[in-house]
Amino acid sequence: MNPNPFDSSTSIPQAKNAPGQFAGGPADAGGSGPVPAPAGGRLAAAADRRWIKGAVVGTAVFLVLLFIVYREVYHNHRLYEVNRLRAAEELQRREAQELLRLHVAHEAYLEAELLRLESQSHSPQNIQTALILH
Amino acid sequence: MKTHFSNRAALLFGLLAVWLAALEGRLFYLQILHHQEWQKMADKYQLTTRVDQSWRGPILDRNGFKLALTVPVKDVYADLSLWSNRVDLLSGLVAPRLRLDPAGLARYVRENLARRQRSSDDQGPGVLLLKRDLSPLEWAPIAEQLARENFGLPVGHLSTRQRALLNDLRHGAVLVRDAQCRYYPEGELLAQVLGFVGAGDDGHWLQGRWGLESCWDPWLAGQNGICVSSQDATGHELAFCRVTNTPVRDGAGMVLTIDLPLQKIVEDALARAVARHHPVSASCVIIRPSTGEILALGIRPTFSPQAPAAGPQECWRNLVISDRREVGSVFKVITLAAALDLGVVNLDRQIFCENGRWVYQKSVLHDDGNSYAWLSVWECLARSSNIGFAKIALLAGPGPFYDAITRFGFTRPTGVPLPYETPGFIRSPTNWTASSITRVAIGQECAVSQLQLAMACAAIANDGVLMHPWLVRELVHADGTPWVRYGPASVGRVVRVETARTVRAAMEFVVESGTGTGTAAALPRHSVAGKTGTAQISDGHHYVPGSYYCSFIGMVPAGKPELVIAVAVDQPKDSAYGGLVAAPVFQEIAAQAVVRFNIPPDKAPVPPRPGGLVGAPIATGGLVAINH
Repeated sequence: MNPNPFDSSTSIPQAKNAPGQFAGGPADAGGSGPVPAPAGGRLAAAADRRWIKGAVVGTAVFLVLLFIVYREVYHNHRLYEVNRLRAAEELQRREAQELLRLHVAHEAYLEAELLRLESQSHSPQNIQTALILH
Repeated sequence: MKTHFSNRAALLFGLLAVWLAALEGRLFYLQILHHQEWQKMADKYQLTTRVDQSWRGPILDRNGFKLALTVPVKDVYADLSLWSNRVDLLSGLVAPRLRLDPAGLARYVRENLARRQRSSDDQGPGVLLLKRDLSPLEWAPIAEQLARENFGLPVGHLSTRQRALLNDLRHGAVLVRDAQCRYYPEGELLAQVLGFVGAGDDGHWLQGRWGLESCWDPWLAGQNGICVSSQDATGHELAFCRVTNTPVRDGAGMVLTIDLPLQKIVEDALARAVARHHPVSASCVIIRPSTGEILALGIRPTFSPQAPAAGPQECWRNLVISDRREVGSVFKVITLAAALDLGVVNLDRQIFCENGRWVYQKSVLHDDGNSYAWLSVWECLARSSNIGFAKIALLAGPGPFYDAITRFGFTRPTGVPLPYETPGFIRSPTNWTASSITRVAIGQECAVSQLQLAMACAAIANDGVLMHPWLVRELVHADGTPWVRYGPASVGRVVRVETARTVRAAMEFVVESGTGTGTAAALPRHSVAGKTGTAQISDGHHYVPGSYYCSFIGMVPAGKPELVIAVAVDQPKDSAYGGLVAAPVFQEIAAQAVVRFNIPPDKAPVPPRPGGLVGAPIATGGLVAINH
């Protein structure tokens, strides 16, 4: 069974490592082999590395998420901007069309007035004259 | 220790499982069981539907003159939630700008507020229409003025609430909605043909209610566009989130065969005739016989299509197509064509006219006070002898005579693309009395429309080929590109070519001989073929004494007619003869029409009378000749 890494009293190796129990321990200090680093220090370094690794990964994930959120916000902002431009353009087009239609109606009115003036000369006397002269 | 840990882990996982199960259950409840309900609610808040109104197409004459067009307008509304406790203040500010009476407006708003409070629905005060059809050019300065108005609030520092209220009042107290208004630049001209529009009940702003506007409504109205899209929290549409976007298709423009200057000539002449004779009505239709084109169609009295309700509804009726009448002697042209085509007479055949009174099958026929003895067929037509024509029809016999006259289309609608056309009425010979044939021959016991008669005469002018009346020349897309083109359509040959030419010669004799009834229709430089008609008017049982329907139908030039003109004056007050009432109207119209259509003269010029028109200014009455 693996030792519970969270239970310090049972699982930390140095607690079991009574002098002379394991080679490389303090009982072997006068031995011929190289003097190993104390086990507690090695473990602390490993924990630091894990923490750093975790922090880096976490930060990276956070940054990615932040980027995604930022991208989303930016995209949304752009869409709103495009929407605003499009709405403004449509409004402008409608207004221009409205003006054009009013202009056409005014032209038709003037045209009708001209024809009305022209037809005022259709007096019976003029018609008789036209009859003879044509 | 292990057990302790396992228990805690199990508890944790258990709680997690319960929480997840609850979550799943809730999701199942919301998204599966109540999906529709929530979807509807979400759509209500998130989606907006906008209907883009299609633009009603214009109606143009053959030259491109606008007869009817659509103008953008604004309908002005009051937001009653803002008006409810400041009616007098807002009425005082808004009414003068909308050219309304402030007191009247305040009363109107109060009445509506009270009515809405009494009503059971809890929809809130809503909006109230203040003014229709305001020009955008009129609205722009009003909107600007309202945006600067203080609405009784202090000029200086305002609280946040006051600022919000002022903003609402400035931009929300009076609301506008884009609308459409139909404009008829020529006023009453061609009113019965064009018809008019009313408020639409089919999703369009405007809907045709009469005449061409009604008959051709699906083409003129176009198709509305529908846009369903998401909206933001302020209710603005998100153009990039459109779920459905059916584009709007504007209505088609309609080009008629009507010639506006000629139409004016006709309507002016009719107006003068009405002023002279004070009839119940006067009408005229001009046809180009080779194509069946209706070049002008005028009716008096008339109405304004802009405000049809302002005049009597009686004026809306297109008498030329919807009224069938006993037309009297004008029908003798058809009788003559039938008899000639059947080969039972020729123009030189002598007919005994019984010295003006003839009893046939216990029915008495008169020649209107004239006592003719022997007359040739030429003279029978020129002098409009009833007895002569009764005998001509008898020579043909009921069956062949009926078949020959109905070939002209008197028992069916002509097919003119206008609503309420009468099919005419001629009983079949099996239902005739013994004397019916003598009556039908002179235009009694049969009722036809003026258009039917004009088309029949146009067939004679067109060497015997009857055409369909042609009123709509083409439909064009909103961008002006052609969509549908209509052309002349022949119904078929109704009489032989020689028959048609002989009838025209006889009709020319009526006008040009100097002894006929139609001399008042003669033109100085153009030969005219025509026939007068004076029909008694029946009240359903008897002919009403002193009540006549006077008409003249003629063609110019007689040799190769380019125009057929039918004039009718109903119950003139001062005279009872088509030759005296309708023929001069024909002459007045024809004289200008030949100039308008540049029809070359075919008669020798009449030398000017001394002291007459010599030295008179050269005037063509403002007419401009065109080539067609």
